[in-house]
Amino acid sequence: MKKLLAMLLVLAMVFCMAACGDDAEAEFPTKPIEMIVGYAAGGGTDTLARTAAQYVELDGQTMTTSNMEGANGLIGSMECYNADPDGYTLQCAFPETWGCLYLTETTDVELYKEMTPICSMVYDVNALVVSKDSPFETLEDLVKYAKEHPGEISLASVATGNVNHLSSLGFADITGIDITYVPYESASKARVALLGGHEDLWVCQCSELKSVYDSGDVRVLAVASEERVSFLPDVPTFKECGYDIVAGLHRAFYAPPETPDEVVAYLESAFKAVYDQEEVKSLLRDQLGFDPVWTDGAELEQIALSAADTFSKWADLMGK
Amino acid sequence: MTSLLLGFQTFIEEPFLFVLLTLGIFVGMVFGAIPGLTAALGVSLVLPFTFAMTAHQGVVTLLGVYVGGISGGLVAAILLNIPGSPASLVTCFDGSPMARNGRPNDALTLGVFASLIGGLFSALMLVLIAPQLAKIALKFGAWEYFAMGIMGLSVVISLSSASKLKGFLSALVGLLIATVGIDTVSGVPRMTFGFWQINAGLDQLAVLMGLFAMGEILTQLRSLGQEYEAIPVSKVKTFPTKEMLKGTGKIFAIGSIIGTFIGILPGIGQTTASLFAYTTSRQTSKHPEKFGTGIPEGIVASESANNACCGGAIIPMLTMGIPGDLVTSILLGGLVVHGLQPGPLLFQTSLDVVGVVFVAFFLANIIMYIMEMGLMKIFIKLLAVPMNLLFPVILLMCVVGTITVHNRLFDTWVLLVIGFIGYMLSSNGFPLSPIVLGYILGGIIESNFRTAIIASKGSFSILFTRPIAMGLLAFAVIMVVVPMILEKRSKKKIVSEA
Repeated sequence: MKKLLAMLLVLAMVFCMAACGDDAEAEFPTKPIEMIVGYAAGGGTDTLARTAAQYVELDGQTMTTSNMEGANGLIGSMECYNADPDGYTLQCAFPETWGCLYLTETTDVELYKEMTPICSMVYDVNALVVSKDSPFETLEDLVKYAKEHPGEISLASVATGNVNHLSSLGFADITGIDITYVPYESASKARVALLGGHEDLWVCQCSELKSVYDSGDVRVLAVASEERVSFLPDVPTFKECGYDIVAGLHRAFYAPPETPDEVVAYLESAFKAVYDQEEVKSLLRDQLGFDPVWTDGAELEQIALSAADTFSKWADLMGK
Repeated sequence: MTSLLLGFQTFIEEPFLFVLLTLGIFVGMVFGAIPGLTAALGVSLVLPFTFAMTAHQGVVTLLGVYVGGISGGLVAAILLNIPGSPASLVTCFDGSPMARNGRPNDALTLGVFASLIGGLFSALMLVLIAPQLAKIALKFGAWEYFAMGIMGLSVVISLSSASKLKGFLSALVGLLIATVGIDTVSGVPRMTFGFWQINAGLDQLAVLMGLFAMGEILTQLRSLGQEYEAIPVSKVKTFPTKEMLKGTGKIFAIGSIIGTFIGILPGIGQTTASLFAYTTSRQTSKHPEKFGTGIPEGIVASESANNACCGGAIIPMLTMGIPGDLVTSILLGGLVVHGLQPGPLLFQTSLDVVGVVFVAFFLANIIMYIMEMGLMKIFIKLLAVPMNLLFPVILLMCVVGTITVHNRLFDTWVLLVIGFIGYMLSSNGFPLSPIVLGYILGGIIESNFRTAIIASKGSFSILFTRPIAMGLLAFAVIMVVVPMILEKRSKKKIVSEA
C-alpha cells in the first residue's frame, strides 16, 4: 500500500514538473511578480513600491512587495542582482545611490551599469534646508556668512559616500566655502539634529522634508533640480542661484542583469499605465511628497551613467 | 483635551473600532507570546490589510497589534526563560527565577499589571504633554546619546555578579558583534568575511533569539528526559496582592518614566528601555544583590518600562513625524497611506485622528490587561507541556521568525551559529546578558560618538558645554566606582572581624 502511494506521489510530482515546463513557454507573466524593497516597511520607497504594486495591471497576475532593508539598500539590490533574470524578481532602487556606492568602494559590483532599468515614476531631488529659527533666508545669505566664518557652519545628513554627501561636497567646492559635513545614522536623526539646533543645515530628499515644511518648521533654501519642484513652487533651484548642482534620486524599478527585452518592455508599459492615472499622481505628490516625473528605461540608463560621471568628480573631493 | 473627547466620540460613533482594537490586541499577543515572532512582524503583516480600511480603523488595528505584541512577550519569558519578543528579554532575569521558585502565577500577574501601569502612564504623558516632551527629546544630540550608551554599558559590572572578568569578556563579545556590517557613518563593510548578506549587520532578532532561545534550549536539552519536579501552581489572582507589591511603588515610577523617555528618543527601543529601567532600579535599590533571584521589583521594572516605551515612541511620531522605534515607523507608513502626514500639522488638520490614537492607546492597555488576565489559566498550562514537545515548536517559530525579517533563509544560519556560540559561552560560565547589552548599546555608542566627534572636528572640549551628557557620564562613573569601593570595604570588614 505504502509503495503504491509513493508511486502515485512520484507520478503526481512528475506531472507537476511537466506543468512547470509548459508555463515557461507561455506568455509573461504567468505567476506573481515580486518587488524587492531595499528599505523598511512604511518608509517612502516602500510606500512607492506598494502603490505601484497595488495599481499595476499584469494580465491577471499580482505584484507583491518584500522588504530586505539595510546597508543603504544594498542587501535588497544584491538579492535582486543574483535572482533569475526572468522578470519575476524586480527591485525598487536608486541608480544614483548605486553609482555613489561603487565610486566610494562600498560595493565592488557595478550595479548602476549591470542591472536592467525598467522605468522611474518619481524624481526625488535633493534640497538644502534650514530650521525656521535660522538667520539664513536665502542661499546668498548662507554663502556670504560661510565665507566670512570658514568652518563654522555644520550640515547634517545621512551617512557618507552617498548622493547627499557627494553633492554637499560639490556645493562647498563650487561656492568655495568650508562647511562641516556631519553624517547621521538615518534621515530622521538628521532631521532631529536640525530641529534641535544641533546642526545649521540639513541636506535631504524633498520627500523627507514635506511634513516639516508644510508645518512651517523649516525653510528650504534651494533644490538641486533642473526645474522647480511641483510642490515647492517658491523655492529656487541651485542653477537659478548660479550654482551648477543637480542631484537627487530617481526612485526607479529595476530587473536583474540580462533580463529579456520583451519582458522589460512589458513591465515598462504596465508601469506607464500606472503613472498615467491622475489618482496615482496626486497620491504620489500630495500624500507621499514625491514629485511625479516619468523616466523610461533608456533615459534611466543614461542618467545612471551621467550621474556616476558627475559624482566621480565630487568623490575625488572625498579623497578616495 | 478636545482631541481626547473627539476620540471618545469617534469610538462611540464607530463601535466597530472596539472590535478591531480587540482583534488587533489578540493578534499582537499571539505574535508577542511566540518566541521568534515579534510585534514588529505582526504590525508589518497587518499593515497591508489596513490599506483597505478607513484611516480610523487602520490606525486602531495597528495600535492594538503594537500594544498586544510588546506585552505578550512576558509569558514565555516568565514561564520558559525564553523571551517571547526582544522587548521582554529583561523580564527573564527575575520572571523566570520567580516562576521556578513556585510562583509562576504571581510573576505573570505582576508582569501584566506592570505592563498596564507603564502603558497607562505613557498614555497620560502622550495626552497631556506630548508637544513639550517632544521638545525635550530634541535637546538630545549625538553627545547625549553617546553618554547614555556609556551609562548603559557601565551596568555590565552589576549584571556580572559571579565573575567580573567573564562579564567584561561577554560585553566585549557583544560589542564585537555590534560592529559587523557596513558602518553607518563612513560606509565601510567590517567583519563581513565576504558575505554581502551581513552588510547590514547581524540581524537583531537572529542574535537575540540565538542567544536566548537557542542557547536556552540547548542548555535545557542536557536535562531532557530527567525527572523534574512539576512547579506547584498557585491560584490565579486578577490583581496583585499588597504583599506582592510591597516596595515596588518606586519601581513602577522608575520604569514608567524611563520607559516613556527612552521611547521618545528615536531609534532606541523597548529592549534598551527595560534594560535601563532594570539596572536603575537595581542601582537605587536597598538590596541590589537580590535582583536576578526572582523578586517582584525586577519584573515590574522591565515590564512597566517596555510598555511605557510604546506610548513614548508614539509622541515624536505624532508631533514631529519622527518614529521612536521600528514599529512606530511602520505605523507612520500606515498613516501616510491614508493621506495623513504626522507632524505638527496633524493636530490642526486631523484632530479626530489624533484623538482616536489617544483613546485607542488608552483602551488598548486596558483591554490587553483584561485579556491577558482572562487567558492566564491557559498560559499557565504551558508549564505542563513536556519540554521535548515544546522545544521543537519554539525552534521552528524562531526559524520562521528570522526568515520573515528580511524574507531570506540566510538569517536562520545567523540564528543557529549565534545560538551555538551562546551555548558554548553560557556553559563555560560566561553570562549572556552582558553580550546583549554590548550588542545593543555598541551601535548607539559608536555611531553617535563618531557623529559627535566629526561635528566637533575631533575636539572633546565641547563635551563640557553639554550638561546632560556630562551628567550621564558622571553617573556612569559613579555606578562603576561606588559598588567597587563598597565591596572592598565589606571585604575588609570581614577580614578584620575574623
